[in-house]
Amino acid sequence: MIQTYFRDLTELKGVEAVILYDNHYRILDSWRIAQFNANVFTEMGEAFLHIFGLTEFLQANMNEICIPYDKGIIYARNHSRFFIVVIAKLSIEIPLLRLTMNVCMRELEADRKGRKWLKKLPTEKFYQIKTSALDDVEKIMLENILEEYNGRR
Amino acid sequence: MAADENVRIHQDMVFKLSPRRSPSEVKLRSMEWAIVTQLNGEKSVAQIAEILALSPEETEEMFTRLMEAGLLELVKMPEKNSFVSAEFFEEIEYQFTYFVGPVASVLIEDVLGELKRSRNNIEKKQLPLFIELLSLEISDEDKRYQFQKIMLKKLKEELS
Repeated sequence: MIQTYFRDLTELKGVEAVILYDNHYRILDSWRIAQFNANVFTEMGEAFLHIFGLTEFLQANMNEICIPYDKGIIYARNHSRFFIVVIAKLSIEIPLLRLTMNVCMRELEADRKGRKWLKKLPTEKFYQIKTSALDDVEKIMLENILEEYNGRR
Repeated sequence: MAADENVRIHQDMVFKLSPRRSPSEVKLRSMEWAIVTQLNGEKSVAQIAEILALSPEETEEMFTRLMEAGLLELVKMPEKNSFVSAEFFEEIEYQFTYFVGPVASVLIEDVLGELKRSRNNIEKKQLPLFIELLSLEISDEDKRYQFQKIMLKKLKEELS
């Protein structure tokens, strides 16, 4: 899937890994440079599912997250049926990454086979958040968010 | 390479701490200390600004101050051909005009103003951001995508 629809991302200078997750944070496909450790992919997917799940629930208009860390950046992009995470060196041009992502996402949606594939994927993210996987602080935060959300309705 | 104190700070310059002077000899503000901790002779000015979430103006001001204080040693200068050619700029304007009409040149000037640049001194490294900001001026999503797609192809050629 990555080679078909997101190849341009893998060809960007500085990109080290691209991971495609469904809304149950299952890895659908991944690409990485040889020396990159893939052990963290599942855990990372779960963390982004928590974030995108909440933004979906709160109907917040946030479809991307960019987190710099000491060795690079982690860029995650949300779609209603999946999310994709790119790990890149700090030298990556974020606007170029974003432009490339925009074009790839749009081409996937415009492609007949791509649309068929998207239809088969689960739709919701929020209800996939397993409270058992949250620590105490995260649970309290989630409860507060839900309380506030319900209070607003 | 000693840093010339009159040199203007560029986004792709790389600095390390000068061995000639210690940061403790100079009164620094907290964000200037933060910059000092990031200087390793590998990270560019733009990368440090990104990590510390600094605006271009803040970045230029603080790096200039650090340079004037003699704390910086230049490791890498920006390449001479790092500016966007007039031909490529014309190509951007041509494509943009196709999607937004005669108002294109006004919008281009606005976006250049946001970046504190002109047609003559926009760096190649800023092109993706420039294209992105221009594309946000296209309200029709399909047209925006078409513009981004065309420009992405041309960007790859220009930046390669």
